Formats: sequence, C-alpha cells, structure tokens
Amino acid sequence: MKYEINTGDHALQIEIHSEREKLVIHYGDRHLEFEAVQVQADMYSVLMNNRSFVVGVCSRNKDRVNVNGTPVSLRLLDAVHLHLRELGWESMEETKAGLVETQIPGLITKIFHQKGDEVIEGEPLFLMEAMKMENEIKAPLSGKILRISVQEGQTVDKGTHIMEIG
Amino acid sequence: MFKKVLVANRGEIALRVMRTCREFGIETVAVYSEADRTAPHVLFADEAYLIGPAPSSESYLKLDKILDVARQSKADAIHPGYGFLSENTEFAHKVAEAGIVFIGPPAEAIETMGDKTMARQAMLQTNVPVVPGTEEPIKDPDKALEVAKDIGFPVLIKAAGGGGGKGMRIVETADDFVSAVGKAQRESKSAFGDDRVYIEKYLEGPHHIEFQVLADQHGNIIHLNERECSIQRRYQKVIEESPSPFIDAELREKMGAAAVETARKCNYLGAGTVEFLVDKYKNFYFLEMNTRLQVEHPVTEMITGIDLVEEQLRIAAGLALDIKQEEVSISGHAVECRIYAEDAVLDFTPSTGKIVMLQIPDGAGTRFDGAIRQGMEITPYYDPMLGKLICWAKDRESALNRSERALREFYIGGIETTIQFCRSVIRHPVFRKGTYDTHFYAKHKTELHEDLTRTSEEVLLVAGGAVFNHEEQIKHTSQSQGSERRSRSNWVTSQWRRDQS
Repeated sequence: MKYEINTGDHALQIEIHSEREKLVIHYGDRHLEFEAVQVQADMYSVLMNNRSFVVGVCSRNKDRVNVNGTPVSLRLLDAVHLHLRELGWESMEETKAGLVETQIPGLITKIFHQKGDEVIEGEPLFLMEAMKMENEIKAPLSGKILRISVQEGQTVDKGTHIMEIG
Repeated sequence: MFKKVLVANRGEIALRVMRTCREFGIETVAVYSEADRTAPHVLFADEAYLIGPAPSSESYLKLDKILDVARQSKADAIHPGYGFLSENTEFAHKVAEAGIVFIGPPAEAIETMGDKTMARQAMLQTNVPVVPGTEEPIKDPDKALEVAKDIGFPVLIKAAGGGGGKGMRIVETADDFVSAVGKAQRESKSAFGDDRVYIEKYLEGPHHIEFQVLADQHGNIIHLNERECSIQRRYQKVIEESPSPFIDAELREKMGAAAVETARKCNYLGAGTVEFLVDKYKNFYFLEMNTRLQVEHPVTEMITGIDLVEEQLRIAAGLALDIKQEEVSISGHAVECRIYAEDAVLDFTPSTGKIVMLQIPDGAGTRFDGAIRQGMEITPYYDPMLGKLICWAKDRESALNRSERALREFYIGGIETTIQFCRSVIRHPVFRKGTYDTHFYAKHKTELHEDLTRTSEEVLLVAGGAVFNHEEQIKHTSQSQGSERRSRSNWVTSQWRRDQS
C-alpha cells in the first residue's frame, strides 16, 4: 500500500507491505525490513535492516514520534488521503487557525480585549498563570475577536477554547 | 547529630536530603499535599503527614501546619530544601522559636541576602564589587525610567523579592521601558506578593558564575569552587558545569575569596551560594547570595567528593568543618542537565500528563537526581522540573561525551521533556568549545531548534513505519474489542506562545 510520510518540509513516498510477521518498506529502490516490538506502553524497539532504534509513539498525539531521543513531527498519509489531496480537498482535520486554546491547565489572570476588538498578530490577548509562570498569550493572526469563552479569574483545563479570532 | 529530620519540601530535593539522612541513620519525616500521596518522597520517608490541598499555598507554604507536624513527629530539625519556605525568614524564626533546628542560615542572613536591595547595600560596605544600579527598590515606573537613563541602556529590571529569573527583564531602549516595568511588577506581585523592582546595568558578554560556600558555627568559612551557569533560557538555568571553562586559577582564587567575604559579611551559616556576573573582560560583580542548597549543587559534589547535605547537617548540629580551604580540590569535570516537563519544540510550553514510559540513564559517572516513576502523573501544581542528570568524567570533553550518551539513553514517554534540547546544547560547537556566555541561547536559538528537529531520511522512515505499525495495532485492538477506531488527534498547531521578551 502506498503512503506518504509528510513532515511539512519533507514528503517521502513509500510503500508498506506486510510479509509474515514483518513489514517491508519500499522507498525508492530500497527495501527495508522493518520489525517493531512493543517494549512497554508506547515504546517500541524497531529493527530496520538490523539497525536498532528506540521509538516512542504517543497515543495522545500520534503525529509526534520520538526516534532515539529525537522528536519527529509527521503525518502518515494513506492512499485515501493522497487521493483526496489530488482532488484538491485539503484535510478536514486541520485545526482552525484563529481558535486559541490552552495547552496546559491554569488560571486566566487578565484578558486584554473584549468581543469585537480588532487585534493584530502578535498582540497580547490574555495572561495565564500556570506552573508558577505568567504566560502572555499572543494573537496567532490579525482579525476581529469573534468570541471570548472565559472570564478573568477562571481556572481552565488543557484544551479549553479561550477565544476565536476571524 | 539529629535523630529525626523533617524535610519541608517535595520532589527531587526532598529525596536528595532524605537519602543523606538515611545514610547517617537519621529518621526522615515527609510532608505532602493531597496531590502527592504517592509521590516518591512520601514513599521514601520513615513518616509522612498530610498538610493540605494540592496548591502549594495551601500545603507546602503553610508554615504553621509544617511546624505542627514537626512538633507532633518530634523532629529535632527541619530541612527546607530549595524554593517553598527555604528563604522565608518568618519560617526560619518560627522554627528556631519552637526549639527546632532550622537547617540553613540564621533568619537575619536570609533577610539580608534574600532582599536583593538589602544585599546590595550590605555588599557596598565590603571589597566585593557590585553591578552599577539602583540602591533602593522602585515602585514608580517613571522614576525607574530616570534611573535607567542615568545608568544607560540596555538595563535589567529585577523583582526585589524574585529569584530564578521570575520577574526579570532586559530592556534595550527607553521606549519599551515603562511597559516592561509593568509586566515585571505584575509577575513579581503574583509570584512573591511584592511589586518593587530594581534596575541595573546590563553587562557585555556576561557569564553567570557562582561559588559554593560552607560556613560553620566556629567561624570557619570555605568555598568549594565555582559552577558555570551561563546556559540559561529566559533566565532559567538549563545546564551547569564545574569547573567553568571561562575562568582560570587566579580568577577562581579572587572570586572564591570574595564569596567567603560575602558569607562573612552576613554572618552566614551552612551551605550557601554567592552568584557573580563576570563580563567578557573578566571583571566580576556580586549578583546575589542564595541562602539555601541550590538545584545545581550536585556538580560541586561530583568534583569535590563532598556531600553538601551531610555538611549542612553537620554544621546545623554544631560540628566544625573537617575540611580546610587548602584541602578542597577539583577532580575531573561535572555537567548537570535539568530535565523539565516542557515542550522545547512548542516554545517550552509546560507539558502535563502521565509518564507512561521511563528509562533513566545509567552507567559509569552517571547520576540522576529525580523523583519520577512510570505511571506518575505530572500535575500543573508544582515546578515543571522532573530531575537533573549529572555526568562526571576525568575532563570536560569526556564529561560532555558522557552527558550526550546518557541523554540519548534517557526516555520519558507520555509527556514532552527538555531531554533532547539539552542534547542539542551539548553538541553545539560553541558549547563544546566552552566559549559561551549567558547570551548563548538567544544567539543560537535557531540552530538549536534546527538541531532539535533535524531528522535524517532513515529516522523519518523509522518514524513512518512506527506510526503505521502503531495504527495497525490500535485498529486491531479496537476491532477485537468491537469499539470504533480512535479518531486521529489533531496535530497541535498551537497558538500558545509564551512571552518572548
């Protein structure tokens, strides 16, 4: 089956075949025997043509892989994805660019704007206290604040929608 | 010597202190918050007492509660670790009033050195040079601007009650000054409840070099050489090493003598650290004194063979130092890498969650001071530092090779960490050469981040194969469980950015 390893900067076209217990990756004229054995939880021992790698795959975020300590961000696009892309349909899974979400839990200490305000990219939106630090969150793009979903003094979880800019 | 010591802290430093206590047959008492019932320090201790809910303001900072536990458990001494109550004069006073030994300096020394302005004023009466700047803390931003203009830009704004880089900012021009003061004040107010700041000259090619001192109750004060702490990110130390590749024996002797003079000036007792700024012309200036055990104390232990916690206990118990200045030697080289639960790729966003996989490096000259284990939840309540990797070898190059090897061996799955970032720093040619200063990170940020995410074709193929394999497994598992395939999680195109000033 055809796949594309896409990192944003690079795209490798590969084919993956299952042969008995092993996988074979075809890349250009290379044939790579690929064997992954789960060591524990999200950690695998990979032997690719007998070269040894320790690979971490996070179930929570499958696009982030760790190979021998190096973090790799990639998407593995299958034939369906590739076909959709050929038809000009971009992935429907992309995060909305103007949606500001929290990456960690914390306390919203100050909100600098009101709904309807125009902000420019890089302008501070709000302050959040988390892990003993005051974090200033800046506008990811220029636009109008369409929605503010939290109030000052509110404790928020990871992944909370704070604002939407459009 | 003490029979029972209460450790008023958590995490790696609580464990670090308890380990030495146990080696000397001293019983240990842990205190813990509701979030820490199964934390490593609770499991290690001989006794453990719940002191309150998860937020540190309701638990690890509750000094009366901790004193009650000390009385109840009949502890004869309290070790405060670092952070929390370690530099709290009220706590030091109250401990002493309760007839319990505070393992640290007298409250007066904490008071003098804890307040940067008071420390500066005290140092102006000695031969130890200080950085040009304000003598008094300032509240009014316009007045501060006048001072800044007098000193000349760039200047540094610092919180009067601060530490660890919190509430600290460099300002390049007068235009940015007033808003920067406001930010520093807000940060300082929320972190320390004090919104006074002070302004000082920003030095060229500065190195942050500190000296470990030990002072006993019999008037003996010695220093245990320096630690080079110039690898910082947002004023937080990332990697420390000893000896410093920047200073020579002559400067070491001069700075060591200044450190001892500083300790003498504030009637210091116990283990302390005198921090200096050294500019590129090798002029050194007193920066501050930390009146506690430092995070990076292990590098000193590795090169001197001295257990600093043991010395703290001995001094607090009234024993005289059994080592003289001329007997302190430097053996080999040690490097410490701080491992934080932060995502270096996403601008060091704190990362919380469960540690699903843990492989701690091992082998010759490799020490890990941490308090983590597999299955443990990293919560947002406390400092994001997971632990410290300290590598020792016969010389600097070998110590760096060893650090790189150990970092590659280190694997923490489930949360993001700074392991790989430390590796990128250690293999950077400027760091390797030892010619770096505190601007290292800012100057080489792009290269470091490129190195951090640089992947060979081979690594990409391995990663792609691993994702395929993992998805097949999940598919297989969910089919066999009759449940739906888990949806693909969004790649975090984060809008989360920390303040970059």
